[in-house]
Amino acid sequence: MPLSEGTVGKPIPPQDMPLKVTGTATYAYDVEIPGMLYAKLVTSTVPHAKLKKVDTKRAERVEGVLFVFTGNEMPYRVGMYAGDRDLLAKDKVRWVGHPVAVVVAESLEAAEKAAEMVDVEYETLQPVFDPLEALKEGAPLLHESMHEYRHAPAFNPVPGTNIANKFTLVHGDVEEGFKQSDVIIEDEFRISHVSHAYMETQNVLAHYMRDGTLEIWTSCQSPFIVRQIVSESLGIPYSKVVVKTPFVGGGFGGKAGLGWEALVAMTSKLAGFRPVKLVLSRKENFASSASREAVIAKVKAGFTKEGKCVAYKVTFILDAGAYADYTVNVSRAMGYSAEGVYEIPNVYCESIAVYTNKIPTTAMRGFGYPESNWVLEQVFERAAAKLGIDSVRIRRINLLRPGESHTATGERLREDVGDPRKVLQSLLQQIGWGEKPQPPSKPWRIRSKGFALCVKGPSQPPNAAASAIVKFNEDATVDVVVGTGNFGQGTATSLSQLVADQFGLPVERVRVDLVRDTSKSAYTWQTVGSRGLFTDGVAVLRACEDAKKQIKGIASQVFRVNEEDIEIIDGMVRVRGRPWISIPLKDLVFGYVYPNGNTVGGPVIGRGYFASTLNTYLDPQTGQGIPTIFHTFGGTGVEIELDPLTGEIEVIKAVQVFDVGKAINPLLLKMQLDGGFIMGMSIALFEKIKFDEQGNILNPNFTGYYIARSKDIPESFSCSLVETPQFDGPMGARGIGELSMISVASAISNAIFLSTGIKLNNLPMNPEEVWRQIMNQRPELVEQALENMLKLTQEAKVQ
Amino acid sequence: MSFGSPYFTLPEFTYLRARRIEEVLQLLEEKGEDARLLAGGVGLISFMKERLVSPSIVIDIKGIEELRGIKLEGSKISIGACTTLQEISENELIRKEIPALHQASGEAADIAIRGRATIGGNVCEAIPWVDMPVALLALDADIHLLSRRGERMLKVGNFLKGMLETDLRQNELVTKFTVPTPKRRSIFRKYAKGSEFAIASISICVDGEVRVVYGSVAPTPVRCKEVEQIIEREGISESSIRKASKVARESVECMDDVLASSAYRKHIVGILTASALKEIQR
Amino acid sequence: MKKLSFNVNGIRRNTLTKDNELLLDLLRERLGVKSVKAACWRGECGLCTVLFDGKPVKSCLVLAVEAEGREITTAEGLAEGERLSDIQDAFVKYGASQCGFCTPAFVLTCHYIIESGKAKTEKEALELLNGLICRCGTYNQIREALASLLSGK
Ligand SMILES: Cc1cc2nc3c(=O)[nH]c(=O)nc-3n(C[C@H](O)[C@H](O)[C@H](O)COP(=O)(O)OP(=O)(O)OC[C@H]3O[C@@H](n4cnc5c(N)ncnc54)[C@H](O)[C@@H]3O)c2cc1C
Repeated sequence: MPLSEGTVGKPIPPQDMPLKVTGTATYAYDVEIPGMLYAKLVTSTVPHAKLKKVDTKRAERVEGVLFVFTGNEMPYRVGMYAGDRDLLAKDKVRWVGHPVAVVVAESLEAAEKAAEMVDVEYETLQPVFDPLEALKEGAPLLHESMHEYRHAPAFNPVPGTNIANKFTLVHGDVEEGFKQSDVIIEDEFRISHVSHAYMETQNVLAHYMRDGTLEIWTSCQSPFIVRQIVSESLGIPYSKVVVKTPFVGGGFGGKAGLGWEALVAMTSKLAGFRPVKLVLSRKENFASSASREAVIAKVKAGFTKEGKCVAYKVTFILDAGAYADYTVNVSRAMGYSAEGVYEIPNVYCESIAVYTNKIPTTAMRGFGYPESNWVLEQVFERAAAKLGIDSVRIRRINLLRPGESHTATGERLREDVGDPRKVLQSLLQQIGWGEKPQPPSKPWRIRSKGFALCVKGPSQPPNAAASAIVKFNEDATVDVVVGTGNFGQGTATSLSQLVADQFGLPVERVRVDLVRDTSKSAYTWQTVGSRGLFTDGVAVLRACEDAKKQIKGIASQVFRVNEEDIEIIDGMVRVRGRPWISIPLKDLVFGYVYPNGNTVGGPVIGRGYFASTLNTYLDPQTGQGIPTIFHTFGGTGVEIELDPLTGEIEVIKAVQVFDVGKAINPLLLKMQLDGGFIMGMSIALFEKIKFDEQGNILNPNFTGYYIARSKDIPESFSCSLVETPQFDGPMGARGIGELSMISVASAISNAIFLSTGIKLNNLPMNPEEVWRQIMNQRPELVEQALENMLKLTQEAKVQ
Repeated sequence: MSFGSPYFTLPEFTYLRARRIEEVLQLLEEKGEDARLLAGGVGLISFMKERLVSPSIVIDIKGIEELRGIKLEGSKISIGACTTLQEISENELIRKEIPALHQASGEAADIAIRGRATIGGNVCEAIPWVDMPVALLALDADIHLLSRRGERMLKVGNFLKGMLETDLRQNELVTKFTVPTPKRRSIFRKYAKGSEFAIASISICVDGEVRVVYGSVAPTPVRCKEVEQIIEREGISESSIRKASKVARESVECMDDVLASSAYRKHIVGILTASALKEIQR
Repeated sequence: MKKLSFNVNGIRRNTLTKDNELLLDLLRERLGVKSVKAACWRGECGLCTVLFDGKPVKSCLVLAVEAEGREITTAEGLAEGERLSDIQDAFVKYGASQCGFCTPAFVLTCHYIIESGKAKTEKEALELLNGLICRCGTYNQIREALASLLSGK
């Protein structure tokens, strides 16, 4: 293959695979420092109480225990957006699992023994678990000093209430819209708490050193944000905080934002400047770390008889739990994503994050969009049914039109944002829309198809940047320094491909460093929101440009031609039109050495950055502005079977279609699309964190909290890509990471609705929930199925 | 099942590896309450991690040859207490003669756990969601207990008393289970979609006396006499199945827990009854 | 402390252990075998899977002392010299890993499935993987990797 053909567009396996399949990739969980001590959390057993006394005496006497620290010794408040959190509970505990003390010992065994012996005295307060209750006047208040919190400017907390953020989106006149409507759809939806369930539990190793340097190894998505949070809250200069992140065993949003780093850092300092490691058990991770919020959504939508949606009014109440540092932004994104891929003239949306005495909540893959999508796409399906028009038509009528339409936040869509019409067309083709589904695997089951569309962009502060350095080595191999994290997306490999093609190098000659280190890596704000390839890719390409400029500068002297006449192709630097005048890259990238030893130029190091010139804050009254840096359009189609006997839904075929702009690496894309489907399906069909009346989690494990396993996946996966290049994307590409799971649940519930008329308003759609809805809405289906089974001839297989 | 532990480490204990049954009985006699037997360890180690039990002595019995293996003993099939679920599921004699046990062992947990978990541990652990006791009850199996003071033999149904409760005495060891044959017309089925353990299970045996047992619906497996009578009276036919399914749903008392509500369990009990009877009819 | 002697990936290891130590912790903490991961510590996720005399076990539910005289194989031990094993190769080729945290456990279990002949079909093989969780959802790629070996490539 001639190198000039390039590697972009080729399905190259992730370059780090050999490390992963041999188990030699290092994660923060694996890192040890000589002399390291072990930390163990002591957590609250009650949901809401004043802390009367934390007695550490018994615990301190356990052999091997060095210290037990409480909130009074760590008077720091931390946070990224809401800034609502104390390092350890100080005056109050706010949920079952709230850390009240940390034990430090020479061994984990000693730490665990001592943790059982910390005696905590509570004066219980009335808890509030239901967000609707928490909104009422006179409800128990969780955060008395909300007015002191240093929340970021984009948010609107309401001190004196349990409202952590209230976001409002308004355009047009929704009441006027309802007047023009021929059909109104009104309903209420509920979505349960979901655990990210990243496999590597939260863990931090921190070493506060005598020279004031703080070294932190952590399993996180965003080392630079960790640095920011730690520096700002503990009052340490950024340069003194060195955050290192090797491979990360999954994040899905749960390792962005606020983690345990500041707590472990202070613990290290107080423990005499010794390294301290904290690893959470799965139960602790469920009970004391943050999960995805639960949602109650009330919606009213108005359509004309032609199928045009002319009014959409929705309220999202987010059960944000005891702390909502990142959920305040989720509520904002859920709000401005309310209209999805449609252009609706009159909209009123309120999205309110509410504190309750339950586990804290945070960002998760999709960031509010899967929740708003699930409401919207079902409303559209039901409206179509009520109007007697088909599912495709109602979508075509309302679809955003690039170049013309305005989004929910009033952003005029550019021509090059992607092509939702092509996406829809391709999706229909892939699932064979209009063709009858295959006969069901068992005669009493109901087989059907459904689909849903989605769109998303990264929700980030307007100035969230990325940067990159492209460094040539003596042999013309390249080291690429970026900040974007490695938790399975394969971005490093895509970036290598981008760089390789810029210089016509084989991709093996480009290396993207895999350990992130805030003191050495190039800055990137976070690895979240499907932004990695886009933002860091742009930065990398600009760094390549910079390096090329340097190379051309040297070459122009050597060749005595203008810089513009120089080209870099197949690893050679040559004069345009006269390819016989050429020098290998390696003879230029460390300066050119003339025969007599004279040298021009020096080591080539290119730098580049990404910064958005597009984004704005949103208007606090109307939610209007530009919140994201691109939009990726896509959709999910499914063929499913419903077993009315048990209520179980089985997905047989999965179809994903996305307008990715440009497929830099189709294999990596396929991995994201299949993986995202499976995660979306698992959340849609199984996952729910359950609480008892005291706010204890009933299923802090993978027995009660079931996650899809290999046997649960569809028989077939297909994906199809639309490639409408984004002019400011890297080689035209857009992000995809979260997109792949946004419309999965919607596609499944739409398939059920289309075949049975059954409305599924509660997530997850687990067998029991679906059975309940069948019994409520169409009980005869169960009887019919049972009769069908009983009538089966002897030969036919039952199970 | 709100299990889950904040702890990574186990409480301290002394580990002893027993070679012979006599050794175990001696130790049990001496240490009684402080000792716990370890077979596959799947249950015991989890329980210790949860701090549900903290024995000072752990006696590993899985290396005792006499406690392992599957044999024909006259008209009975005996299964050593330390036989693993994987061994049971791969055993030809069991596959042919006792399909219910073949199915129950083969579908339990996963290949790694089946390779460790023993039938003895599965029964003695006495949690509501396990599968072997359900089949054993339907098969009218006996459990054999041994102590220095002698041997006892009980019906499995009488051995299981409740959640984490059995009739096992502190000085006793389970040596084996025996299943009277023929038991070819037996079946085990469970419903566990979106769940690691059964939400409900059923085992039916219609060789000789009809026995219909439900698992995962109550602290211990329960027989349903009403369903049994229908089958005794009417045999298995479309109409008797219809009736049995309805009666099962109405008469089997089901618990509420984190896996499912009592109402849903009752429904599933009805469905399992119909589908299992339908299959056994073939 | 007790003396313990067993093989890890074909190499004799003599070490000390305590009666209440888990095999998982012995391997990771004392012997530095970090390919063995853990995510639930109670037998549900399977990430601590090792081959124990050739068969998969979940090392969070095995006492270290039980390993006396046994042969333990981990993902590091499947490759021969510079050459990856067949299943490792297939995982690379089909992209059957994302974050990679569960990958050693899947690789080992798939290796066992192929070597033992316990699965004839793709479907049976997927059933045998039900003790393992991959949160990134690489099951479809794992299926492809397995299928390539089941069908003799
Ligand atoms: C993730 C997971 C999934 C599971 N899924 C299933 C499933 O689907 N179906 C199912 O049936 N089970 C399931 N189990 C449970 C598992 O099968 C049992 O824990 C196991 O069978 C217990 O057997 P063991 O040999 O490991 O017992 P141990 O842990 O060794 O012992 C358990 C208890 O029994 C006592 N004991 C053991 N042997 C004897 C004896 N011979 N005499 C007297 N007392 C004895 C021990 O002292 C201890 O108290 C699952 C477990 C896990 C962790």
